[in-house]
Amino acid sequence: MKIIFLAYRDWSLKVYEYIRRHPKINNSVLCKTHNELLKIDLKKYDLIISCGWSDELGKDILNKIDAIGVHCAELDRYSYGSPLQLQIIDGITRTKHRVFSFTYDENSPRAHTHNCLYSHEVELDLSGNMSDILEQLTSTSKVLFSRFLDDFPTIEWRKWPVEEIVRKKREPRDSIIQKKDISTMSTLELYNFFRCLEDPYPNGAIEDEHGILFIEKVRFLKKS
Amino acid sequence: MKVIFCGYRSWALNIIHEIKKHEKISSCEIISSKDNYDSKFNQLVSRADLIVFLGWSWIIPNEITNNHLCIGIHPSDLPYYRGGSPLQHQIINGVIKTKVSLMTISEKLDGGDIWLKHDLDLGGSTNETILKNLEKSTLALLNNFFNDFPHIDPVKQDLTKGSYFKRRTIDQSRLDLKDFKTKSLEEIYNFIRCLTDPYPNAFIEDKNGNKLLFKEVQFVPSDKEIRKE
Repeated sequence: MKIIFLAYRDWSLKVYEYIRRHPKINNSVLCKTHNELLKIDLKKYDLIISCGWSDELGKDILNKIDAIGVHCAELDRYSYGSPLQLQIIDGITRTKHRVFSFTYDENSPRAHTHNCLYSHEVELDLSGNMSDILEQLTSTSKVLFSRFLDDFPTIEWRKWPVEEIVRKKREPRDSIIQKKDISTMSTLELYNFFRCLEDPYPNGAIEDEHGILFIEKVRFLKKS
Repeated sequence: MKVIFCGYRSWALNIIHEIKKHEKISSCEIISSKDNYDSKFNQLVSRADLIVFLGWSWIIPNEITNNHLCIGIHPSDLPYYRGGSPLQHQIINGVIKTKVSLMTISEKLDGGDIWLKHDLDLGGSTNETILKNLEKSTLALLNNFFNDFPHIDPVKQDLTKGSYFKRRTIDQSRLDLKDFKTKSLEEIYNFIRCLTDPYPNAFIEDKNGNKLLFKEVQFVPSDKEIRKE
């Protein structure tokens, strides 16, 4: 089996080193940018495996080759981008990490215009600092892609329930809260806000008329 | 000269390992813990010309300071910020440029005669940076001292001037939500950065006793570009 692996984030590049050694894979190429992908002759490959990839693959690519990716949410409302941040801000600490298919649907507003189909899933813990969560994503992605490849080509696709609620993708400006708003948030809400925006994301920050205070790292101590 | 160095914190030990190479130091002993001090110090002290204390936390008996030349450093422009937690008190009060002072250890806490001072920069978003600056300034200060000694005279401190502060307690690392209304973000930044590791971190506590600890922060004044956008 010949695969194209799409990854550029630190946590996802570690997944490639593992997956390329899967017994069913005899040829693999790593792409770190969309331009690199565009230069590849897709006909020579069987599958695109996308890991933490932000760019849309688009109709031209998906009409020529099958593609799968990993998505770290259970609820459909988090299908539009920034799923980690939005779930943590919403107070979710346990979710799913899933293999989903890039089935191009030009009418879908979801990220990667996908249609809610998933094949394999594992539990994902969203408590802890961002470095803990990203380390976990590396491990769960290895498990998910391995299981998919183990079962390939007999893949059973399931559909997650569609919701009307939409949690929109976050913008860098959303990482900044006004000083006056601090007192309206609980200690736990502040913790969730800042921890989900730790490096490598645009850090959570507090702004006033004189400047911006970036909160790079926080910790929460629950009274026992 | 025969010198005894007493210090246990990593920045102090880094300084000791460098300054012990000074050409005027013919032999040196290093006391790097309280246990080490209790077991070795009394045997060594009679043979020493000078005893240097760096960030030492335990009381040095008058019997030692009255009979031997004992010097130590204090990270402030003495007689200002004598007493405990000088780095924290200065940073919270908005001091960025200060001195590290080399003084004779006497029974008056941080009130001994001043031998030399050297510039100390209290900028930087973490104590890791601030302690690195302290290490660098103290090393320069001690090098100057050993270069000039014994042709150098200490100057008496005017203790009617300056200021004295108590050592900060863990509870003083608390930030109240009302502080965000009454203080500027720069003041809050200074408060948080001077309480980064290894000190008790700044925290917000809710009514249930849960604490949000601030581990690392950065401040960008409004006239600069927003980082990471």
